Amino acid sequence: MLRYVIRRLIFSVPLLIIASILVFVVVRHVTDPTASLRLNPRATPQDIIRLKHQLGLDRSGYQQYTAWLSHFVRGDWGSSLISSRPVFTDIKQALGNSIILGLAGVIISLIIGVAIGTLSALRQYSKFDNIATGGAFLGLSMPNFWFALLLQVFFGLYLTRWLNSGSPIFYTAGMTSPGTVGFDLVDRLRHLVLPATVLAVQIIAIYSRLMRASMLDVMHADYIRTARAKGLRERRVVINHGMRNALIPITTQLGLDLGSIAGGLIITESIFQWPGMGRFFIDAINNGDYPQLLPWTMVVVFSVIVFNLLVDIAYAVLDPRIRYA
Amino acid sequence: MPDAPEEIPSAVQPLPVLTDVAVEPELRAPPGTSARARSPWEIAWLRFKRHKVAIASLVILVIITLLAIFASVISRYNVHTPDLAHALEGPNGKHWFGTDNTGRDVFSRVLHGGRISLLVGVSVALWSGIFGTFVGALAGFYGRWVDQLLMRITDLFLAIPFLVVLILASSLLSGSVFEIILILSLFFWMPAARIIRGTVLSLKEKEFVEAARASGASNARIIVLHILPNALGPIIVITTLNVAAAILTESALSFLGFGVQPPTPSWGNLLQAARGFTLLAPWMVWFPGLFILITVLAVNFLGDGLRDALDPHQELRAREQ
Amino acid sequence: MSEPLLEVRDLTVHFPTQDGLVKAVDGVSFTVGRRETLGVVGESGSGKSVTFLTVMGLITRKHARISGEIIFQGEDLLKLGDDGLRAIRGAKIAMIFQDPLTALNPVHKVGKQITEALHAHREVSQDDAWAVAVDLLRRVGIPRPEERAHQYPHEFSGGMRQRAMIAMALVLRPDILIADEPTTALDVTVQAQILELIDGLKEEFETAVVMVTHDLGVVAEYADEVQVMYAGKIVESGTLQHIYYGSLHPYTWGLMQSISRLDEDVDRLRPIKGSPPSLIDVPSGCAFYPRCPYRFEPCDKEIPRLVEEEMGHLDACYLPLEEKKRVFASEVATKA
Repeated sequence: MLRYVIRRLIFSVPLLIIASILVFVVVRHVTDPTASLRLNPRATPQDIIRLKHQLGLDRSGYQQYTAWLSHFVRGDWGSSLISSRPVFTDIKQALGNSIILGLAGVIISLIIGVAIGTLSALRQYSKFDNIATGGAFLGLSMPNFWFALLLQVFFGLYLTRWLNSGSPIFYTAGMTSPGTVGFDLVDRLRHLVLPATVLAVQIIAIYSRLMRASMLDVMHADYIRTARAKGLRERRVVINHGMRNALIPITTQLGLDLGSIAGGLIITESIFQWPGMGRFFIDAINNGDYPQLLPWTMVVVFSVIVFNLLVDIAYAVLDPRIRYA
Repeated sequence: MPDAPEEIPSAVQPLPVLTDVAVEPELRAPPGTSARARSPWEIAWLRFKRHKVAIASLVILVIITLLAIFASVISRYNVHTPDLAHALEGPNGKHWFGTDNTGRDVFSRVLHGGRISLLVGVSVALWSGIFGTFVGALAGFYGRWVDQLLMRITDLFLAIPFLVVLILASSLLSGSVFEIILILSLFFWMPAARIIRGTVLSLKEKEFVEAARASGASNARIIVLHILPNALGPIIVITTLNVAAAILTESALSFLGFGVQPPTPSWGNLLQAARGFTLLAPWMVWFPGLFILITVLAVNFLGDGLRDALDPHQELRAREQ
Repeated sequence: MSEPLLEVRDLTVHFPTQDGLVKAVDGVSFTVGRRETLGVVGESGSGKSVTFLTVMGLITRKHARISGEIIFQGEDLLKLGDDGLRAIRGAKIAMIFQDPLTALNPVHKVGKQITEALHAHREVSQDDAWAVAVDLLRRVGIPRPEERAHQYPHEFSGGMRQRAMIAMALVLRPDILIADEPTTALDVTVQAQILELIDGLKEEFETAVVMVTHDLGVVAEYADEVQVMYAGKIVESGTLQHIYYGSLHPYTWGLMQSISRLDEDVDRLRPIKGSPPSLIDVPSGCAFYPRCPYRFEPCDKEIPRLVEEEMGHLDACYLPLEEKKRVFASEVATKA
């Protein structure tokens, strides 16, 4: 088991390096740091060359990469072109905010989704199952940005009007209300609810289907019959034998989904103005703020690789058959 | 469970009967079996027919597709010309879905947008289906290092946060529909590859492959003529489900401004245009989104029905590792 | 003979399906005596597995229409509630299944799967239970049981896994052990070992054994009583002697003729022509009629009843006893 973990860890290191090189090459290709200068009608070719030299763009690819890498690992991620704030601090904050949103959206809905999926499988084709399935299909087919917009309209406008209240019950933009000093939990929660709901709906839809399918698979396995033949209580059969096996593919999927929080909440954050990694990315692209893009992409890629590794390890912990692969 | 003894043609005569009443001991099909064998496609069709929701979804999709194809015929309004005099009108007799901020008829914009969205969705699903089948078949059939390599690449693509890459890629490109289809196809082939690989692996061991091989068929021939037709069921299902996913992804991309660029309408960029007017003209938000929802829902139900019809043993769940 | 341990009277199990009513078990009656080995032989679809799954309560009125009686230690199991059945399952009547790889939970240690059975029925401490499990693994012939108990099923070989299953089934010293095709998934060399193990343990644990199989050969060495099932009914039953040295039913003859034997010079195998009947559209008359080389006038009119042709030897066939003995002597005994 330990050998497996170590092997996966060792495998990850070259993967991280290769990934960093790829990201570096691609992002540098996508962005042109001299763009704004080129657009300036008064800029002379010498100005552009000077800028290139200043930015180190006239050096070889390898030199550029190593120069950048040495800065990167030390936490020197440059500054934003727009705000001149250090990228490192901005990303750190954005990442934190995304994690908050991600966890809020995932934790409870995961439990709900797994519960619904299990019950659906145990009561296959019952009314509960049919309703749950219909709901899940709806959740899976709904364009999440549309749902977000609808929520915004409803809570931002209609509900407030109907209830005649001064401010919306659940806020539709940002993470905090302007003018709040310090940490106001209720205020934060009121901002969190809507974007988390958009996430939650998708999570419940996906995981309920996944769990249902997994449970159906598992409950028809021979070892379930054996467990019953031993005279175990049905509850024990369902939980210790059924769910214990059915949760394995769920866990691996969960790991992948968690890993993509760093880069994946683009739409929700965009619509609800949540200051997370997703919005950071969109703003950076739209502003052409290249010093932000490269570190951002690195963080996202690293997060994905790390979580993939964690998923592999989790899978080995849960399924002993894998440990000796 | 062990099979019943096979019927082997033999020269052994049935033993003589014992009484005067001679009954010719010819062999009849045991009572209770159907009169003729059914082809697997017939069986699938019968199973599919039982799925009322899937049938209804098929009908709805046909309607939507026809609406999209005949969009120019159905609605008289020009999709691109602004008509500011009639801007931001709610749904009425002349404009069934209302008008947008420049006075364009939302109904015709939605129908024309449907053309693009459906086109992208189906194209992406088809291309990625073909590519994924190809990869999966190679991996499953040749096994060993080919399999390992291809599956690692598949895992890699699955792990990439595709929206990020799509946005990055599209900012490099001009945003033509063709390019959108191309880059989207990069991210939909993996489930097909996984599933086809699994199917091929299980089919590889079956006797008819041995028989084909014994009769001298080349590997390519075996794959194409023997294995793929049997894997067709899962291929069809996953391609259908991919259409739904592709439509959603294209809409999301266009919504963010990185997909199909205006003035070409797609459901996604119609919603993007609607963003500033959610309060003034909510119908701009309602209708494109509703169409996405209904279309994707119908495709998903259809795919589910197809899965039950073609692959009732639920083999489509992507197996881990 | 002393009072039977298990008495099944007129058991029918019908499954309502989309295609019709599947009459899996149709009027089956038999007994299992104390410390006896009963061999139940039949093809797939004969109803042999369904019968015993129903005895175990793994098939219930929730799944099928069941009628008849299953008397075990004075109680009708079919009238017992869930809790009552659960108390018996595993503890008084235990069952092992065909493929030990899929029948064991892949994510639980083998030792734990055995102690789990114990804990479900008895108050024991974890340590005591573990000790019992290890001891049982030793008794079924697994080397280094202390280590093995901590391992997972996939780390065992096929034969060892089946031994572990047997250990798991016997841990509570049940009165009856039902073995459903216990050797079918195993290598030929291992099959004999497992059968011998079961037979040996039967003595040690004072258990009655029911061996359910499609293979007459499996039953030949260890069974005391044998019953042959076809299309949901018992077509012949008797002692091992009766069946092997004087069977009276054409289906049994067919089974005997279709096995190959190393010690005989056989020109070709003689499988039974045709395939098993549908259990939905059950024909009137004898279910074996379409495949029977000896059929005649009354056979397709009415189902032949199970009749005691000799002491303890029952048979369901219209052929006269003399005729059957003649055929057996001339066709089966020599050619089989």
